[in-house]
Amino acid sequence: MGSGSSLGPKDYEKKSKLAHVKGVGSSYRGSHEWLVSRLQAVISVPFTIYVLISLLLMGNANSYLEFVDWLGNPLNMACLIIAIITLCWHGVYGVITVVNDYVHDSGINFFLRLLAKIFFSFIVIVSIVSILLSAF
Amino acid sequence: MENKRPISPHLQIYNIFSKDMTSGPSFLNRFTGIISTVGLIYLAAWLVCLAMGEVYYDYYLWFITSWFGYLSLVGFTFAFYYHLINGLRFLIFDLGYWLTRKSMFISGVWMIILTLITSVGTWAFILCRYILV
Amino acid sequence: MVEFALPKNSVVVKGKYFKAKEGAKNIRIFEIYRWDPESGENPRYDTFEIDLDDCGPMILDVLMKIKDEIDTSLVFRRSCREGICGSCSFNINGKNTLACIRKINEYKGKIRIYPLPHRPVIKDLVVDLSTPYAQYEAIQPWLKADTPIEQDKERLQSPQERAKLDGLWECILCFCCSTSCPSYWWNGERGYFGPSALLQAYRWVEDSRDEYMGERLAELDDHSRLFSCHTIMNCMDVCPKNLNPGKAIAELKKLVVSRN
Repeated sequence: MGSGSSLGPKDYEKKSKLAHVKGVGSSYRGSHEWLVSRLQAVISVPFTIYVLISLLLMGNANSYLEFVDWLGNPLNMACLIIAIITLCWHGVYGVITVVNDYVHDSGINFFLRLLAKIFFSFIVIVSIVSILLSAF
Repeated sequence: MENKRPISPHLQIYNIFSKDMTSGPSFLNRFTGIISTVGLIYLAAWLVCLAMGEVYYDYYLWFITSWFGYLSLVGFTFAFYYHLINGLRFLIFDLGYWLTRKSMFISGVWMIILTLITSVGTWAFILCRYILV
Repeated sequence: MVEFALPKNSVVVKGKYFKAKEGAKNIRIFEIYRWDPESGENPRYDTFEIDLDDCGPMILDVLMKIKDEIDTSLVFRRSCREGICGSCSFNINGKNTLACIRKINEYKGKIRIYPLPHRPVIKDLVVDLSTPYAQYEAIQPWLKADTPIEQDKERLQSPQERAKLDGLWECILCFCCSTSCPSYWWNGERGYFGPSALLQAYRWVEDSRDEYMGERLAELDDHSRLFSCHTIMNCMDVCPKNLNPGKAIAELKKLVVSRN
């Protein structure tokens, strides 16, 4: 990237630069994705803070049974599940943004984004299944 | 004949962590976001071990109370709080506020202070609660 | 993959050292990026000892002195010498700015003058700005309106409407902002329009006489063109005219989102 412009008539140079800059055109949908990523960031905050504080205020941190009891409370379990879903959703958008910024090869870019989506979906499902299994 | 033109130096000469609290916090926000993703893996692993019964849960405890485990947890704490507080600061920027030079600097300094207070405070709380009690 | 390190042909090596004249007392050291397209060599940095007693107060004065008296092969853009043409934009001690409005004694120690970051270098401190100019052209920086007006009459605008353009129209297209943005470094050639073009895009959106706000916003509503901005805010930090492209971009984002 960043190859210099070759010597040539100024108008011709400028025209091809404009075409280069216009690229494949506007997608007309960048704002939707941006808005969604801000909203899910905001939503994840209260649930994550609740889980964090609730866990910190627990009794004995090393006790297996205490945690299972904590999960038995439906409010705790619901907040934990929502926190994990929103955190992973935020995470996947974050990783996709980073991949889009740094990985310019469209093939590798597509593959890494797909990998990110699969990875975070896996984390969400594994976590929820584990939570449900622990409590019941 | 024209040589392929060199690219002018960028990261090599630019003051990313300048005192103006612009690019430094932004880069750290991205970095802590990535670290927090690793933290999510630790969280998921904990839940899996919880579901698999006491034996596996003990393995996890053994790992998380090792020096590496504690180091990870401390790292995740700082990364998580930094990302959370700076994330809220960036949300305020997205709403259009605090985008002047002065506000950016003041909010940046406060963000660092709050990150330190919450991270150190959390660990102080844990130490007091579980070790001194 | 983005190259965080400089490619082999861009790595800067140590160059020549130019000592000051005998008896010079008030010496400051200047390190200046050089590249000669005809030499086939890598870029280098030349070190100049400058006698400040025999030089004007601004960084541009130093560059002119070097070109006049020490090394005439030094090449750099400059014109007005008063901060209005936008030609002499360089990276000075790690921050983009105009050389003609920066005093030498604002800086401590060695003063490093490098070209604007992450641009192809044409020669010495002159970089290829064709992409930023093309992005400026792409946002269509002219009045677009369908309402017919009487011949030889202006489109009227109240003082309050005109005031909305303050902080936007004063841009001198020095491109300090775009070339200070890491997001523009990685994605400037791949769709991100950069703070300079986006500030001007907002200038035309905010102009009450312009009637194509919808089309302008639609063209910007793109993941790469506008939303590659991650509020890094280096742009606001470096603008030599104290404009705030970051704020303009934030307002643009709000406008674009409100169309949803």
